[in-house]
Amino acid sequence: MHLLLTLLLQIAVVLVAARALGALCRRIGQPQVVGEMAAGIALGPSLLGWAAPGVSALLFPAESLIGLNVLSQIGLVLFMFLVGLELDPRLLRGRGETALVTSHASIVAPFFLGSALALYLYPRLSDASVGFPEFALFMGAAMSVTAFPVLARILTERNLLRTKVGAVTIACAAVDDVTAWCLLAGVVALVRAEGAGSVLLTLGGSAVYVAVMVLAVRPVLRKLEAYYESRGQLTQDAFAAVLLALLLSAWATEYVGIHALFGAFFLGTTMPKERGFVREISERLEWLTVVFLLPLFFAYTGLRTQVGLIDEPALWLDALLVLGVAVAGKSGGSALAARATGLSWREAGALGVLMNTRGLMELVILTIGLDLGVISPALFVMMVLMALATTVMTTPLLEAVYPTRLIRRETVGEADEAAFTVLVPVALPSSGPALLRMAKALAPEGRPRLYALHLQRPDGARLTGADPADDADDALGAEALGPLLAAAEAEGVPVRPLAFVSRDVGEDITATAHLKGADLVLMGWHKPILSQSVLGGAVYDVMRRTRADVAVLLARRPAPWRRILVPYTGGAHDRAALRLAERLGRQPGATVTILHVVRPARGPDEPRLGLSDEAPEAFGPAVRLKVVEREDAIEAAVEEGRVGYDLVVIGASETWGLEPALFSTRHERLAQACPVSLLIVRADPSRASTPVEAAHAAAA
Amino acid sequence: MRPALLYLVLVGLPLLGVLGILRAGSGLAAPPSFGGAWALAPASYPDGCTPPAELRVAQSGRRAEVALGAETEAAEVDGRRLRTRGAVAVRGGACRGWHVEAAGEGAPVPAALVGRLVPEGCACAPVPFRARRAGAPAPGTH
Repeated sequence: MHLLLTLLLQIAVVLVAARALGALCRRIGQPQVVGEMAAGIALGPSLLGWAAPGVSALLFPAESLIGLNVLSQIGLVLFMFLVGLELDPRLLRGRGETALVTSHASIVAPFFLGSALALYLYPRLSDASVGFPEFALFMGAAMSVTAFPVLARILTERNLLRTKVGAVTIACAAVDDVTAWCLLAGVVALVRAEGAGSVLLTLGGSAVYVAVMVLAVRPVLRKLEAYYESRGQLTQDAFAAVLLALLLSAWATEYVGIHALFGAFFLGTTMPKERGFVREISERLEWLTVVFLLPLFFAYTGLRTQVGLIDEPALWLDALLVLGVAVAGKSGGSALAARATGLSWREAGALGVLMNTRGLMELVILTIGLDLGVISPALFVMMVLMALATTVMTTPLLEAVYPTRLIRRETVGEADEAAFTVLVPVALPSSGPALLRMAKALAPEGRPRLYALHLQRPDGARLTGADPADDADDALGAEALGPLLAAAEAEGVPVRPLAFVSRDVGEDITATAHLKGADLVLMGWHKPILSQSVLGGAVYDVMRRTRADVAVLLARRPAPWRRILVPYTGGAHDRAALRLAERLGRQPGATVTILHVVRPARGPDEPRLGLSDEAPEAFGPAVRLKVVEREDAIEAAVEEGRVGYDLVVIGASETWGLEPALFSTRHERLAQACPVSLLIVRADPSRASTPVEAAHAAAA
Repeated sequence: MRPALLYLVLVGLPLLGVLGILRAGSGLAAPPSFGGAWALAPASYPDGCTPPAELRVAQSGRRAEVALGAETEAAEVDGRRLRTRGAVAVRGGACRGWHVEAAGEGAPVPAALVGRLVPEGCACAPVPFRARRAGAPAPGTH
């Protein structure tokens, strides 16, 4: 096949495999990069080449791999530049001695153990083309690395960045990355050097390079940033200038004898980061790099990873030893140092687990080692497996050491006092003002304690998702909560905004409601992609799990809602609807009509569901009871709703065709047909009157 | 513990340990390096008995993978000698494959390989060879 055709086919296959396995990993709570690494290995001789050698030979003929290699190398240059961009000195601000001692110890401990392991591995898995010092130093550097991007992503997704552990970890990881790459640059220079003169030349060249970058390039980049600020946007010329600087920097470090990737990384760290300049550059480069080019690197690495080389029990024991040393050195060293500097055992353990994440950065270093011939193919396989294993183990170990509930408690905080507390999750900014007004209407005699919550799903294409800026948390929810907060200011209602990244929106809303002691979770509605259902998706999750009343507002008419209809047949959810209607009925000028629907053929002994007990006296003269005999309760409610009401408040029950369901198209006739605003209420199961009702409510 | 002392214990001591390891490892010997591509010296062979012109070795310590084309065969490094476990399969020609037995010349990285190719699945006679490195060792082949 023509080289270009083969390359296009290779890229397509790699992208499909990477996206599929990446998505699978995200579903099971693993970082996407784990799936992408696994996809690369699966496409290589370890799986595809072993299971279907013909297909493998067709897809990845040896002579065609040069294209894949070139693209993956370009991807790595861009990736390392992005990693450098993400490293911000502000990460280190105020971290003090804990970060300093912990970060250095977290490098030196695995470096020491990696070098010690080299004493055993050198005669077994290396050869005379590599000297012991180079081999040992490389093993030390390879064991010391932390995957800063993966780590930052895990911290962001688990909302750890706002915890003490998260703050110290991210600072340590930043220091680790810089140090590990400097160490690696030294090792590369040592390996490539031919004699003492060559070493001196490389050292001198490196010093000149760093001086030029700091004294000449950085001021130019500052001017570029000023130009960006004056234009208010990143122009193509400015972007081209940054790319040119990147290429020259990579070329220079390759030329002086340290690696091109070091130049890319160093330029990233040198970029001025005070303003939005680097963020725009990152945004331009990230998608192409993370979605398109890095999977090619994983595939190319996978094609060189031949698990079959470890074909003896003794070699598997060696692989286990490599893994054990890597974990003990990085996790153990970091945790001990963190404990010694004052973190609790749990926090120190969490830091150790996090720092043990190797991920992509390890693969980059290993690839350099393999290319230089410092490590052998079999050792390369062992180290790749170690990188994969340490990345996979991070999330479950972290959950064991530092469970999500503790993180939530630390980041969200607990409720401080009893009051009518409403949690308002906001997905769409436009739904915020109506929700705010409904929350205000539900507490007409006093101010409700109101929490506005925005949960942002993690963006798989972002490199880290972390933003070291002090106002990063505010920025996260600013857009989504902006209209609600503006309405709150106009209405004079104090609101406490909360915003964080969430993998499981339903679970996080439920947990936040619990922590804040919410009496009511008030949600807006927008049509889910895969369902017609009002009560599906995240709403379904929240209604199913939350131990508080949950109400969903379909705001078809703007506030104020004064003429209120409550269709009623009985049951926990109708009673919850009554409770909220009673609150709304306290608004000045509000009237509440309770539409009690009974079946026409009821016998003389059939009770009327005790409505007289349910309708509280608090409704006062503003309440009106209307009893209708109808077989079809839904139709009765819709008909009544057409006659001069602003709002229908109704229980989320099967009677009204409003039972929560993950996917549903047959229900919710009432929700579709009701011409006015609708507040669908699902009762807190713990407040249901009878055990039977409680069970029903919980099942719903 | 005071920060400076803590730093000394947690960072300084392991660094000293690394220096000790480098010193201790300086006496270690690794197997000779056979990794890379080797050009077999041209020679005349009977029809159908011509062995491939290039031999590639990917080495991991005492273990190696030897290729005479697309197929590979596991090999072992014993002292200065390299020997495949079985015949390296080849496509075309009269023989199914060739066993490789060779010894390195030069230390610690042999500049030449001297040995013989023993055919399998044909009536050809074993072929002595002398191979030279075909350029620098390919990246990742060790």
